[in-house]
Amino acid sequence: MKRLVLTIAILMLLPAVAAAKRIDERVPLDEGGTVEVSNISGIVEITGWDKNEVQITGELGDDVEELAIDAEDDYVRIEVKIPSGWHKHHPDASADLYLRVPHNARLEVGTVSADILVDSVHGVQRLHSVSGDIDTELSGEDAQIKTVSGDVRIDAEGTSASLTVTTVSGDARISGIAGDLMASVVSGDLHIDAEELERVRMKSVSGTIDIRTGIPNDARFDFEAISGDIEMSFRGDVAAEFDLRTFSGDIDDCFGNSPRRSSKYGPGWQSLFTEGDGNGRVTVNTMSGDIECR
Amino acid sequence: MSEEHYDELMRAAAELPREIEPSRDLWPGIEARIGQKAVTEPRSSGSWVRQFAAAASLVAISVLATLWVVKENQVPLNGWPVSSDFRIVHASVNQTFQEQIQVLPPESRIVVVKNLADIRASLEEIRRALREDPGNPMLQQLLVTVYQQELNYMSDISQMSQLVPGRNDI
Repeated sequence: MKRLVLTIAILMLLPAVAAAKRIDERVPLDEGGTVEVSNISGIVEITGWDKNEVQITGELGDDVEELAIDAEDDYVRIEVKIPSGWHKHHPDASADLYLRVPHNARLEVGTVSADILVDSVHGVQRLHSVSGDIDTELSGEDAQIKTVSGDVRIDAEGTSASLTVTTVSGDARISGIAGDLMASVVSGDLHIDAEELERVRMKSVSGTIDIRTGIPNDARFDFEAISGDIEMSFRGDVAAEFDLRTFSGDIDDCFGNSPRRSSKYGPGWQSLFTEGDGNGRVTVNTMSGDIECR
Repeated sequence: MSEEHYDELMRAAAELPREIEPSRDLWPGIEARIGQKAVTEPRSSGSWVRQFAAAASLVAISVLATLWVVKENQVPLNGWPVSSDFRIVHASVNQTFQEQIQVLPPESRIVVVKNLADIRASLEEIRRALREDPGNPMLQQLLVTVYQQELNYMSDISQMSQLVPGRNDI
């Protein structure tokens, strides 16, 4: 297997006072190969194209040590390397990377504060950032998205996929997804706008979960929140068994069903009812968060 | 901890249920998640990808570890009875987390610490509610969920901090 290693040793090439370094590299990659990118700050923008190669253009900050490109037939790894203690001593360690990759490439991208933007890539995506925002389009393949404080925007264009989204304080907006969705937030808010979902499992500590979706036969939706509110609205006909419970929050009148106390003397409210023929199941548990149906 | 405080905790613990049982069988979900992990395992040999794969394994472990909350042989963790196995896993994950967050940029570290405090405040909120209504299966399930969420959170953050270079010099 051929192997290609390119290293742009910026510090060796440049004088002590230097301008940002422009890059323009191309390496071949098999259809469906993996592109792995590691960057600290700046941006990683990836666009799919019809060629079986990866084009890397952009600009490296003065304090970037090197851009390492390690390529095999079905794998390309691109890593921005910067000196130790970067955030204290190297303020211009950012890199703006613009990649073109085969449409069916598989993406593995990790950044610290760099934003990640993906367009027209149909392979599996694993996108992780500490504080950078993530903005991607999905086309039917599975995806795993994680941030700490960065916001997430996902447009699945109505395709079916298995999507996992995890944020801490970042907000996530997901539209057009079908299939399975697992999402977890601590204080960030989740906004979902989907035509139809089959399996949903969402957890929140204090963030609001706001979901609008169709619910097909045999769908399974599970929501859990501590102080976060759960706001649901359903498209089209609903045929599901509902099990809505809260310890100290409020429950709306959902489909005309009023909540009742969980026990005669203790705290808590619940609303248990069946809408339509009840093939699906919707379970919501909150500690103090409110449950709303719209 | 003062002897009086310890005695108070022990009295409170004695009044709590001996076991916290999930309101439903959790194994099918665990099995599905372990299977899902196998499907999405990355092929590449890159360093941080391997670390995230390790994190995925940790998630599976933490799910199992969380079930240990419901086992017998319980010991106090922050004043609440959990299994001794769970406490060992929790202590190990917490130690790694405390070490790894030191390398995060200060603004990210503030977010991480604040949100962990929110998770732990939620645990305390559920415990308070369980003292009020100890047999409530929904609260018991939420307690297990948030314990699991805390472990996953610390594991995820520890792995994401691997993205930050120059860790040994900070």
